[in-house]
Amino acid sequence: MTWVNAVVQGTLVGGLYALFATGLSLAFGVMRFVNLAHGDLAILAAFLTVSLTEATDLNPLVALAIVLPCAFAFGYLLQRVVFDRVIGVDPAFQIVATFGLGIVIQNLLLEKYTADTRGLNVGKLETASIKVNDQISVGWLPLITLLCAVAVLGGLALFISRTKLGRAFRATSDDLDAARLMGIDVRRVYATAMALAIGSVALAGVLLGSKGSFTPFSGPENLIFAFESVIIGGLGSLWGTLAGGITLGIAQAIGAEINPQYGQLAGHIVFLAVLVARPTGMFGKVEAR
Amino acid sequence: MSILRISDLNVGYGDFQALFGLTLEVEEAETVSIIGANGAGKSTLLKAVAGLVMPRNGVIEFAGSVITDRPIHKRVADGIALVPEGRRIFPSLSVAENLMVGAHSARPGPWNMATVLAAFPLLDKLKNRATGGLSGGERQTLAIGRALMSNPRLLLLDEVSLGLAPIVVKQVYEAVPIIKSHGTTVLVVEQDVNQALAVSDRFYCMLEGRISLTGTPADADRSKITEAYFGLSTAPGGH
Repeated sequence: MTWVNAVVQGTLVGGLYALFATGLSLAFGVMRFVNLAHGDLAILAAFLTVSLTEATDLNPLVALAIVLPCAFAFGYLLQRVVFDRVIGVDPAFQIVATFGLGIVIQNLLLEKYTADTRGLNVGKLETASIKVNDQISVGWLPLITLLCAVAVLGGLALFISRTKLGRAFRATSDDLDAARLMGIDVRRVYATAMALAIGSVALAGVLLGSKGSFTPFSGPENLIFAFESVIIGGLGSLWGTLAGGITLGIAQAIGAEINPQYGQLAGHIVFLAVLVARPTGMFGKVEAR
Repeated sequence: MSILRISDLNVGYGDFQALFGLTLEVEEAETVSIIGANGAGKSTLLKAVAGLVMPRNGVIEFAGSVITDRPIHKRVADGIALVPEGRRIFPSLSVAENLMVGAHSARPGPWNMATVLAAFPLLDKLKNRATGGLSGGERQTLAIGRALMSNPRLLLLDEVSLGLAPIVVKQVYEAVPIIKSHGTTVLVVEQDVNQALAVSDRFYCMLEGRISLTGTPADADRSKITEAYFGLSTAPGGH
């Protein structure tokens, strides 16, 4: 039964990993862009929520109503002002620009909030759980997180497969110049994709902060799990990202069940095993190039 | 009224100059072909009109306004559509979706999903298919249908015949009279001189980035075309 519990808890944690990874997957899928500041942007959103809840007494999950629109707008502007300049040139520029942005965010947060460990107080929800049986109980907050991940990924998948703008996303991803010849404003496509990416990672950051604790330097460690989720699931596949996050979560939970020290190690081993056995990931499109 | 007027256009890629002071004019509802050998600058000319390459200097006027620096997607909304060399069909979109994406910045006009499918029964049969298994001719027809979905005033066709069997080329070119019948201006770039002259009202021949000859197919002198095409000077009394 403890193994079943490990799988259940791992699945729930995997929901958060998937939510973290959604934006990476989207940005890579639409514009082959890798944002190394992705994790730091999540932590930035969590700290802004700290300030907001301290100033207004709002529940952090209610504060999302303010934080998420800000994150969308910030993502849109970030793409237009910074990231557009490093797309379509040597990929090294992307790495330097986004890595640098991550460092800037970490140090600004350190300056404003100190290096103290912080958490977001969601009240009773933090410990509330559904008792399935004597060994297994499902926490409400992790369950909400997993449902958010499914809703965000499902919503994005529908948006991309069914809407006019989603079609433009796919066309742009397929062939940039041909998409422009269709009258698609690719800068707008890119900025919209980044707005959605930053919005989803801001949601992940706030949920992370509600579940556990964070410091100004928590971004990179979460970025690793997000990257692993994307790679395990397969580059460019949104449903694959969900499966990848859950696979990573379960691997970590089972590893921790064997020995509490083996949790993260087990996750990394599964990641490496996928990379060796199936480099395109579980649902990755095989690139013809 | 001329719908397209290009004056003294210079286009280059890095150290390489593709077009030298090119000047040409296309009247509304006219079909004009541009012929010339490989590397003469024909495709570059179309790309400059569509906005895929930016000229070093010179002026491109479309329907009376200067569009030299206008971004591509706005030119589509203005009424310019390019059927690119190599078709450039979107592989992750179905046939119908490829057509739908063609209407992304569509102007009002006669072409929509229903009229395109009616004009090209081939596409109607394929509309729910993925694009992976399409033949060259099917891909080319789809690329033309996709461009029409934006209701262009000026349609640019780049190397439509490339890589297609002669019988298929003939079928694909049957689209041109249909397009013309709606008053659309067509500018065709073609290596196949006979095919180009057969569909056009007027032609330009390009050689090494310059116009080497212009005229109408009716009074075209074959030896002069050969000369302009290859840059050879034929001896008097030769063919």
